[in-house]
Amino acid sequence: MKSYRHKTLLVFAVLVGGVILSVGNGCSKSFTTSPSTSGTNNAAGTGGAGNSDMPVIPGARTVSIVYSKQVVDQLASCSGLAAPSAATMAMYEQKKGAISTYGAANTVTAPMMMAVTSIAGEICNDLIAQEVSAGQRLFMGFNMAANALPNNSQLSDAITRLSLSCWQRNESSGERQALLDLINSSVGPTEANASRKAALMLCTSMLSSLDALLN
Amino acid sequence: MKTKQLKNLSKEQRLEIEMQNDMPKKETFEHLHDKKPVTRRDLLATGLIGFSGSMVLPSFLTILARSGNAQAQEALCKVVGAGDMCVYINVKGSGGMAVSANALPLDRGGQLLSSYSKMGGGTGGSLSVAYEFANRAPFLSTSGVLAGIRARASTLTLANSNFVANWYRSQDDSSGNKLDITGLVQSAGLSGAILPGLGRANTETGVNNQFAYVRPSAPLIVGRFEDITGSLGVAGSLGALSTAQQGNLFRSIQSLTSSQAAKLSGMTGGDMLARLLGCANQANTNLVANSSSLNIDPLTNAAFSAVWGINGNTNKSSQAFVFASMVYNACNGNASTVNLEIGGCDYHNGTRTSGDTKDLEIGTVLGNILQSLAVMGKKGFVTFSTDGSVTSPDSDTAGAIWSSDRGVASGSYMLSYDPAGPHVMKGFQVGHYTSGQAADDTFITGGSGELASAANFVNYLAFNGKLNLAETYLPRVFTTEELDLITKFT
Repeated sequence: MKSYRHKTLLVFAVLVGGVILSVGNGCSKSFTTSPSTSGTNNAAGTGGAGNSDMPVIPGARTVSIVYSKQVVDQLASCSGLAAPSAATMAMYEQKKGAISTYGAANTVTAPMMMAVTSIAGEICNDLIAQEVSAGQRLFMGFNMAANALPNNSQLSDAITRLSLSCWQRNESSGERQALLDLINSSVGPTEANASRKAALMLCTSMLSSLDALLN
Repeated sequence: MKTKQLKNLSKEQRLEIEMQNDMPKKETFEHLHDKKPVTRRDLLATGLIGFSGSMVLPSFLTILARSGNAQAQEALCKVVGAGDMCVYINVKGSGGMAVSANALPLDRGGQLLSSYSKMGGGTGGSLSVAYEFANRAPFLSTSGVLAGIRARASTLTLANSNFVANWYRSQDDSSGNKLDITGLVQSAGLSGAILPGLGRANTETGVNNQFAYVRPSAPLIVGRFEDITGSLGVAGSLGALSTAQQGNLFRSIQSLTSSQAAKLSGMTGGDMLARLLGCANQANTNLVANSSSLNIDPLTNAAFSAVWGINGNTNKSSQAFVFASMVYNACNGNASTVNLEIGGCDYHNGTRTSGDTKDLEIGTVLGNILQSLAVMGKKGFVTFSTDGSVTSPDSDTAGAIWSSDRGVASGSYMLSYDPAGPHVMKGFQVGHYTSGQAADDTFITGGSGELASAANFVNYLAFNGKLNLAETYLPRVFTTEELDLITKFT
C-alpha cells in the first residue's frame, strides 16, 4: 500500500513537473521576444532594431565614444595636429549627419563609422602635411615624397608613436603585425606616393579604431 | 549502506548505524494520510512546499528559445533586408495641422457629424464631401491634402491605394508626442540593405516626435543628397586610395577594433558597443568592396525623377531632391524606414490661405510617395502624423480661418499602395469623433497618441499579412477584441 502511494505520488510529481517544464510556470520571461529587448539578432546599422536599450551593469562604467564635433577635436588633439584644415572641417560638415549626437553605445551605425573614418583620413592627411612642413614627429624617417615604402622598422616606430598618442598605451605585437601587414599587402614597394599612402593608411586605421574613439 | 561495506566497519560504527535505522522516521505524507496537511508545518513536513518551490523552472520552450541566442551570435551582422515587410514611410507635419479638416472624421456609427463648425468645415448643407481611394474614404471636397494627392498620384495608383484616418487627441505643437513607429517597424523586420533608417531632424527618431514603445536604431539624418552618398563611402584624401586599399583599410580597422573591444566586457553598454562597431566595420568593408554597384541616386530612374520633378539641375539640398532620395532608397530596399518632415504646420495665423497652401504641400508629398511606389512597383505603407490640430472660430460656413490650436481634434493618416491591387478593407477610420467635434477619448486609442500610433503599426502588420504578430511586437498592449476594432487593413 505504501509502495503504491509512493508510486502514485511519483507519477503525479513527474506529470506536474512535465507540465510546468513544457508550459512554463508564469515566472519566466515571455517566450515571444519583446521588441524592447530584442537587440541581439538584428542587423546593426541598417535599421534592424539592433540598438535597443542597454542593460545597466551596477557599479560599472558606461562606455561611450566620441560624438559630434568631438570627433575632430579628439583625433586632432591626440595626434598633435595644431589646427584641422579647411578640408577636414568641410569633411566634418559633409559627414556630421551620420555621427551620433551623444556618442552612446547604442547609436553606432555603419554610416557613422564611415564618417569617422573619412574624417580621420583628413586629419591624418593634415598631420602628414604638418610633418612635412614643420618637421617629423610621428613618421620619423618617412620620405613623404618618395615612391618607396618605409621599412618595417620605420613603420613600427610610427605605430608605437601613434599608439602612445592616441591609444594612450603601447601597441600589442598583434596590433603591430596587423598594421604592418596592412601596409605591406596594400601598398606596392615602388608605388607612386607609397610612403605617403603608407602613412595615411597607418594613421587612419589607428585613429578609426576603438581605442582612439573611446570617451 | 551495502552489507559488504557494513562488514568493514567497526562494531561501534555498525551499532551507531543500526540505532539510526531504528530511530523514528520523519513524518511523511503517508503518516498524514488520515488528515489533510493544513498548517505550514504540515506542508513542510510532507515536503509539499519544498516540492512546489523546486519546480519554479523555466519551461522547455523557453530553454529551447534561448538557444536562439547562440544562433543570433553567429548571425550577428547578417543583414536580413526588408524580407517580406513592405516599404514604410512616415511624413510628419510639424506643428498641428488641420488633420480633421481634410479627411473627415465620422461619428461612432460611421455617420457624418452634424457639424464641423469648429474644424473649418461649417455645418449641414455647407459641407461638401469627396470620396477617394479604393475604400472610398471621405474628405472635405476642398481639402488641400486631397487636392495634392490627386494632383500627383495617377488614377490607377489611387485605385490600388487605400486610406484610413486614425482619430485621437495629441499635444499641440509638441515634439513630445510619442507618434514615431519606426522602431516598431524595424523590430518587425524591415531593415535596409546598406542604409539605416533615414530621418530629417537631428533626433533619435529622425523627426520631431518621440518613439512609441520601441526606440528605433539611430537614423541617418539627411539634410542633402550628399549625406546619403557620404555615408556609403570614403571621400577626400582616402578617395586617392585604390578600392583594394580602401577595402584593406576597413578590414584593418575592423580587426583592430575587434581585438580592442575585449576590454569593454563588463561595462555598461560594452557588449553592445563592441557588437555594433564590429557590424558597422564589417558592413563598411563589404560596402567599399562593392561601391560601384550601389543604386542610390534617384536621378538614375527617369520615371521616378519625373514624379518628384527633379533633374540634374535641381538643388540637391532642396526638399524635393532630399525627399525623393530618401523615398527612392526606401523603395529599392537600400534603407529601412524613412521619416520625412514638413515644417510650418502650425498655421493658425488668422487666415485660411496659408493653411490651405500647406495642406496642398502635404498632399503633394503624399501623392508623390504613392506614385513613387507605383513607379517602382513596390508595396508600401505610408503614415502622416501631426502634433495636435488647429481650430476655426465656430462658423456655420465652410472655409473659416484658422485661429488657434485644438489638440482634441487631432489624428493621423494611413495610406497604402499595392501594385497587386487594393486590399479588402474593414473601414476608413480608427476611432471616431464625438458630437463635440473632438476625438472620442473613451475609444481604445482616442486619448493617447502612443496607443494610436501602436494602432497604426498594427495596421502596418495587417497590411503585410502579419497581424498575428501584433502581440509579439506589442505585448499586452491590445486585447484580441481591441485588435479587431483597430485593424482596418487586411
